[in-house]
Amino acid sequence: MRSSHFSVSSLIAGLLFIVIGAMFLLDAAGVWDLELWIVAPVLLIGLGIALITGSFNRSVT
Amino acid sequence: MTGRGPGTVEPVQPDSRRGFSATEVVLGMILLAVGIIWFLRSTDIVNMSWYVVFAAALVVIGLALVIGSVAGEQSGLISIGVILTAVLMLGSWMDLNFGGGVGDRTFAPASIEQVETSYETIAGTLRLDLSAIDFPEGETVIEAQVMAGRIQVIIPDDVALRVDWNVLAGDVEVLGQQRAGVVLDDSDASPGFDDASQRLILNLRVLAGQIEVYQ
Repeated sequence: MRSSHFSVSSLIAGLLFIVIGAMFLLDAAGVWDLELWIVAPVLLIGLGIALITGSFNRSVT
Repeated sequence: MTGRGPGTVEPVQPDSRRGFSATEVVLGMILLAVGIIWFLRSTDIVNMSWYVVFAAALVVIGLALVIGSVAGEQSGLISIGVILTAVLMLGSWMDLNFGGGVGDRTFAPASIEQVETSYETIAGTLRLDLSAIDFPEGETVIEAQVMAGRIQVIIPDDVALRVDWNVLAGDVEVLGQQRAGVVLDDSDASPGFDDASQRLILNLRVLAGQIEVYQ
């Protein structure tokens, strides 16, 4: 039987990709001028948080 | 028929069925969508930018991760999302539109009417011979991009030139100046460019390879 548990890291990474993907789509539509120097640190911060929370979750379970 | 007593324990059968994999389903959907869009672009039915396709794919991956988070960690999808974000950031920085064909291509327009505003190749050599062109007064802007390979541009002597170029990795030779390295981004102009009556501006982008401009 497969065991499954909620993954905080997947949730954070998912939300992050939705936001970044939407930013690129808005940029392509000409609605918003995308600044790469915003996306890059946001990506690193989000993935860092996702990794830390994921690791913390695993050690608790 | 085998009889079992009340204390007999049923042998545990290994479950040979594979569980649902969100990573495989989403990856399959993305490959399917990319294949369909590529086909539609190749047959000129739809001309959707790859930039939009990749951005939409990133949103789909994000949604799949959020939905799939209740079933556990989806490290495969996270890796794909990171790669896709890197590709999009690169495309945005270099203003790439992920278009063009594969192979060596030569364009030698005979008149200004035959000159296109943009030339693209995914992989190979893109050779643009503008030596026969009598450029009009004012500014003429031409863009060219190659993902992997080389851009060669030959321009006539009687036009003032400015070359705005980006190279992620490779080397550049513009108006006799040579540079090599990674993440190169610069602009070179011929003397008296701003005051010239005929001005040609080349926007050249290469992800990996060479840019060569000769006058």
